Amino acid sequence: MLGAEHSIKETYVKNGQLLLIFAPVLNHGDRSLQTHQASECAADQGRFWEFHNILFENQDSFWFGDIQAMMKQLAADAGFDTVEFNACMNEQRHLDLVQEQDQFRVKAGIRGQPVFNINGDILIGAQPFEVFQGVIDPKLAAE
Amino acid sequence: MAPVPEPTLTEIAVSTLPPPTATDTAVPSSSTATSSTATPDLAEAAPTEAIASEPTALPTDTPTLEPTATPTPEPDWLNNAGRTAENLMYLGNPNASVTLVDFSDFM
Repeated sequence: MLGAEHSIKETYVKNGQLLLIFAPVLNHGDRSLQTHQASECAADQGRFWEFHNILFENQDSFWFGDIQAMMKQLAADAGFDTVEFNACMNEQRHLDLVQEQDQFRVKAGIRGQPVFNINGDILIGAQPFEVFQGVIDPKLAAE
Repeated sequence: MAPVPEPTLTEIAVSTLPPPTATDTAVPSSSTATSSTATPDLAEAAPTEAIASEPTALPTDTPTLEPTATPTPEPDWLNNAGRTAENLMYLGNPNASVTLVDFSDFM
């Protein structure tokens, strides 16, 4: 959700009005597994949301090539502890975790992505910020 | 006779203030500060010759003449990350009235 996410964070998360939760969707085999594990390796260093942004900014380059090497390079470029990050990736340390997280969306009946659940209202597909506003603002006003 | 213009609030305030002196910024000596919880006494706190001679002495328990409320810092929700009961990462205020779950793949 990179497009509208910055505006959502600045408008609603920053002031405490909205809680943002990220739920992985493993729709593309091993490449999905590696990218989501990389985000959890970043979380081990307290930088999940930063790496989450980096992954979305670079997602067009993930379709071909050595995906693990790409994750390690992105982490190195961002100044992560590469010894720890690379060990985390080599050991596939968070394989079980991301598969468990994916089950959350399966149980929620989510098949495609991106899908957004806003207090029970569903938005399907990438949407401009104004669409999110149209769903979020009435909920805040009803408080 | 021409009407006398009414003074503005600013003029009143200024006219009732004593003229500033060199000792106005001096802090009361520690002898007048019995404890940090003592009620500020403007008469006791008035500057004296003795105080003026030691203008740099700053007792740590000096009562504040004009106490101001300490502002509570706003929580930095953009740096408040954690995990839900389902082990998903979240960002923001866990007690927010609106929750947005983003089901996405990085691919």
